Amino acid sequence: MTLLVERLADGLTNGFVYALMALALVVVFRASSTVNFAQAEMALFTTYLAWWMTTKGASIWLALIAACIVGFIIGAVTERTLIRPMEKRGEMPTLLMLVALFTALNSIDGLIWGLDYHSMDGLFPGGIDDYISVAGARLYFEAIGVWVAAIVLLAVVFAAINKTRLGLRMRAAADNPTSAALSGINVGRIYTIGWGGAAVLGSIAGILIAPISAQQLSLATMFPVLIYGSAAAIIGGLNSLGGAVIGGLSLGLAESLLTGYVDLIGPQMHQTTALAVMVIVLLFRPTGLFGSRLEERV
Amino acid sequence: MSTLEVHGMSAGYGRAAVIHDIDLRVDPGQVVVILGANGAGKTTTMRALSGEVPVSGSITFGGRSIANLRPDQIARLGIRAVPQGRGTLTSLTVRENLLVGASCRADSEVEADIARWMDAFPALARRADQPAGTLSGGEQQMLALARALLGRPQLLLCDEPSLGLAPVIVRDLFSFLSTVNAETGTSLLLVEQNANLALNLASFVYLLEVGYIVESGPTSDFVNSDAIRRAYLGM
Repeated sequence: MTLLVERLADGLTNGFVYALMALALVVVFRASSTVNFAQAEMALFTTYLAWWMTTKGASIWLALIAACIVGFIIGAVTERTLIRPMEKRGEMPTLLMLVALFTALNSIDGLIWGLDYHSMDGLFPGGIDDYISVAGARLYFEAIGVWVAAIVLLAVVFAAINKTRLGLRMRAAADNPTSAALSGINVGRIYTIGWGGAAVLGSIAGILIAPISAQQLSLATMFPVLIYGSAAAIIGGLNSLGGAVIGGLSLGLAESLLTGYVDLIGPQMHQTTALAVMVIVLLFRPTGLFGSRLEERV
Repeated sequence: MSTLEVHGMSAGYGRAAVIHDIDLRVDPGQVVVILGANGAGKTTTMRALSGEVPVSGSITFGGRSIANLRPDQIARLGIRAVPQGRGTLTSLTVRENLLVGASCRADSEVEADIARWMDAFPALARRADQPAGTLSGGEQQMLALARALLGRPQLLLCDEPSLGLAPVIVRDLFSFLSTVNAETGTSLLLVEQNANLALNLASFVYLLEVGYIVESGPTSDFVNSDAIRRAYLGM
């Protein structure tokens, strides 16, 4: 029982981070119909930045804010200068561009901050005694903090998209860009904001996961988050915000429970598990669990 | 109120021009129709005016040049287009579709306008909270019109509003357009294949033949005109 609670808690913690990354990918996909392979590396860059600020004496919360601002700028500038001119040339060049950006950002991180592993302070108390016991299992405040932060963030994002004027414009631009433009919406600017917002989500996900990641803060920290996040987004349907969250949480839980209870999988195979789950879902539901095909009545 | 003036407008896709050297004019409150057969360049003309295809030549609206502005800039200046195919935002509710139409307005009368157009189209009111993709074709055409009107345009561009609709619905649609024009003073520029209905509504007519304006004049000149028959049938 104790072990089960611990594994569920671990799964939930990772799952929330995957959900944030998946949500960022979905926001971008809805804007530009492309999967931003560089999303996690943008987040790694800003996470490094935040860590670097804390080593210079800044509080982690101040560093978080700075990372979000820089993240927004990176996302927005990427959309405006790299993606939009590329889109006219088709999907493949855009995708290649993003893979290139993925490698470039990772190398730049290495160039600036080196190849070492760094331990990073979290947003929440991470001491050895900072936990509560549930059924004998230790739930660390670090983990609970991630849950609460993610839930609050998800609530803010969903409210922004469903209840605000900007959110309405974003949904309109994602649904039918031509119509949105004919209604006076500057679709390009909406896409730029979407990319910026997605990078903010990624930055927060990075700062949540780096202090508790097995890789600590290193060049490899965000890669698993990208794998799980993109698998979660695809399972959820790529254009469904709710699907991304459910996909992220279920993959986090599946990862933790499968690697915990199925000996065959173990710690070596767990990323493969994410991809296997994705393939199985796509076999039965090609548009993902909550994705929508474009259907129109005439 | 503003006047649309077009001089020497050419437009097309890539290097091939589809319409050549078009002159036309829509005065405040006027209803103007462009008639022409399939492939005459009617839709291209509309898309050139709404900013969806690059143009050469001059287009002014209220004295201001709008040639090659982006569609959203043109829309914010007071020209709204109802595109062929209706442009429904299928995953948004009917109500949200209307709010999108009003998304550039800062005044407090948006709700009143929504109520007004929902009164005019009870089908939209009944389905206000349904995804707009579930509406029938006729309802989506009404929605497209109402969405455009929520921008309180001075000029409304309608690209073949009758396309694919049952005759009885088309009749309602045209009587609605006539009401809108009378009540709000919105100028209308229509493109139509359905010449009879369009001629009832319009006061001025342009005939488009393979990319050129071949005739123009007050509607009365065109009733029973050979030019119309020729424009449609090539006779």
